[in-house]
Amino acid sequence: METDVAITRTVELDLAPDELWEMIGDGDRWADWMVDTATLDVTPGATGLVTDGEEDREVRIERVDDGERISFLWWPVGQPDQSSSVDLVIIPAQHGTVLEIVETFPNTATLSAKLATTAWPARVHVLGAVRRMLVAA
Amino acid sequence: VSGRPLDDLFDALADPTRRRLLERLVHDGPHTATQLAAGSEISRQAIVKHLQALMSVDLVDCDRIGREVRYRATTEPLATVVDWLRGASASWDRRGERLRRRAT
Repeated sequence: METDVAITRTVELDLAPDELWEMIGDGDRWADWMVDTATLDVTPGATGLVTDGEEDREVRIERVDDGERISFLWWPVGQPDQSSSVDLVIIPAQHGTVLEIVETFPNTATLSAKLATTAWPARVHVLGAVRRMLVAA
Repeated sequence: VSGRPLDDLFDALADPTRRRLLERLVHDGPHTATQLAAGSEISRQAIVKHLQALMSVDLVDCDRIGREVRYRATTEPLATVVDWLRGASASWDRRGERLRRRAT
């Protein structure tokens, strides 16, 4: 059975967890790596704006576990139906720190969940084909 | 790519009859609705409706030859999905790389 449509990355960094937290727990620092510009406070319920490449995106902070994790929704300005959720989780490692990044796509996930109970082979077929094409690419 | 190509694609393929029709067109090549209905429990009319749903997301196209309409599978929508996934995925690779550079 396939899981929801999500993009996952783990980034190993030669940083202490609190140093990494400064880069994700401070909205201004997002512009150092995640986006091009950022105007937001990283507090639960806060909203803000970022530019990412040529796209302006609205952001809403959903969850903040101080020093450990943030979750937010973001979407192209004016298109909340295109929102995806991002979880950034700090995992202390033996040497340095690992940042786990998961971006999931709620609309697709909802539909996938529906398909999972009504017609899950469709997901397997499509995702299987997509994966084969990605692997071949 | 705007929107979520996966959504439309999943939606069109949620019906098992549509998946069977698409598979048949992929494996056996172009067919008319009458040919597809032959030996099937589904009426020709219902098959045409399913084919139209597949055509709406460009998974199927048709060619008119005289009075005959032959339906064929197309694979471009899957390429669109791949482009979308690759773009979203590459963005996180780029951000991860920026973060690594900042961390050193």
